[in-house]
Amino acid sequence: MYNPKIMEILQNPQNAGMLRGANAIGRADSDICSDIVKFYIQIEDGRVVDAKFKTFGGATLIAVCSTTANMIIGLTVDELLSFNIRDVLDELGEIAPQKDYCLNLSSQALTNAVEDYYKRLEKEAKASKE
Amino acid sequence: MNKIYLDNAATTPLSSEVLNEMMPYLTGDFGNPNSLHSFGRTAKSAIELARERIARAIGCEPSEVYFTSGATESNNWALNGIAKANRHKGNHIITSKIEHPSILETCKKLEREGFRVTYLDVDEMGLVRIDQLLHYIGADTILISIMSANNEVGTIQNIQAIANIAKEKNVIFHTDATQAVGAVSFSVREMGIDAMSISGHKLNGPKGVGALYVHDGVVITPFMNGGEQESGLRAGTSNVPGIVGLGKAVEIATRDIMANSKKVRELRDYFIKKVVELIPMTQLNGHPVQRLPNNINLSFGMVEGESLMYLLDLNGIAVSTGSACSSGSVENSHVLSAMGIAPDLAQGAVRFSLGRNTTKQDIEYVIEKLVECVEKLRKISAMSKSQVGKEDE
Repeated sequence: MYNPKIMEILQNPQNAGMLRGANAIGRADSDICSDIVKFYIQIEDGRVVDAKFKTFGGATLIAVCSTTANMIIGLTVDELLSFNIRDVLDELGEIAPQKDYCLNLSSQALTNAVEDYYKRLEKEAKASKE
Repeated sequence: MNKIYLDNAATTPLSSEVLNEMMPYLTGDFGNPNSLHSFGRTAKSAIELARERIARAIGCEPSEVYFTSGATESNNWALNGIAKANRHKGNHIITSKIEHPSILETCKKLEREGFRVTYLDVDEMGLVRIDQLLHYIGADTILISIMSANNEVGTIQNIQAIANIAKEKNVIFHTDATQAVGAVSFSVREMGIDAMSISGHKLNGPKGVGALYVHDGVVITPFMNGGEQESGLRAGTSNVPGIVGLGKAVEIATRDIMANSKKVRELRDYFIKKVVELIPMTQLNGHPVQRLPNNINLSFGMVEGESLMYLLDLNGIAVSTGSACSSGSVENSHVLSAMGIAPDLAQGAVRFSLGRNTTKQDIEYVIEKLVECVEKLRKISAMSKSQVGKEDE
């Protein structure tokens, strides 16, 4: 299935690369192939102020990651936790059924990023008590 | 935007010389070659001329050439037909792990029907392990099928050595020469090849037509019943324009083999040298020397092949990739896996297959865009340099 929107993003992905101020970093590795997704999220006062991604994967995965990163900027942490990854398709349009795993991989990396954020908060809290 | 086609291992454009030869049979000379009137006789002569041309090109008798709908049919027919007609002699078949699916799937079907099939390993360059062939060949072996050259990585097999072993052990030897005709010189009778599959559209000929050479004396069951065409072995009204085109395409490919191979090989070697120089972490897959003159198969560390293929496509460059990840499974290249290429590099492999019409200017443009595209994808790659090629460790 050829989706021109995916091709447009492939050519000019938004939010790609590392984010120096990231305090929520999540990675997900596919268990069926070599695909990898990494999200770098910066959360300030309980809200996502910036988000970037890196990936090893096909055009659809790049487009899903780019769109996800774009959509989560401005969300509160609670909203990020309940973010429905399929909403990405409203922006992206239809993807090939065999590429559905890209949504799961992206979602897993987001979940791991939020976990990382809470771990950091916990660590900070412990450090300040000490 | 420039449009550059570097996917000639998938299919090639029809040459004007071939089209001109076909045109009368697409228009006025439309007769059925089985009809006895002049329309039929004209079509029949055209088919027989094509048969002679192919026989001359590959070094056999015209009566040993059978027309099919393409190499997939030729491969299906050769394996099924030879195995079944020779079952009384044994039930063991030997092939390799890097054959085209039309061979591998037919072998699996034959296994379900009670045949025993040995799939030979290949080395890291894609060469079939001759030592394993010698080890596994036995008294019940009736057929060996090894491709002449691989469609993905371009490695050319030691066909003469395999044919010699088959002959010595009195085993029928078939080779899928889909990618090799026009790149490798064949003289099937002299070489001791008993059956060989040929395709039209890989040779700047038409699609939907191919041929199977079967050496006189090799018994094969019919592929289709219900007509006297192709000596009663492959029934159905002949695809006259296609067959005429195939005959001409094979004639041209063998006539121009030296000049074409030299030109394309020089461009291939230039391409590989430049790309390896300009793009770090580039790996050439397949044999460095014993490979098809038009085949370049490269993996770029940290870069996924499908995204690179699409990015090049957006720049007007058509290439292909053998592996892609999909829900529930990975469609990894069975060829690269058999060669022991690490999964990430296999998923990153891209094939550039040059054609007769590829120019130095095309190659320069592709190199320029390739450098840009690889750099672009590496910038966003989640894979680190140290991870490349080490995924399974």
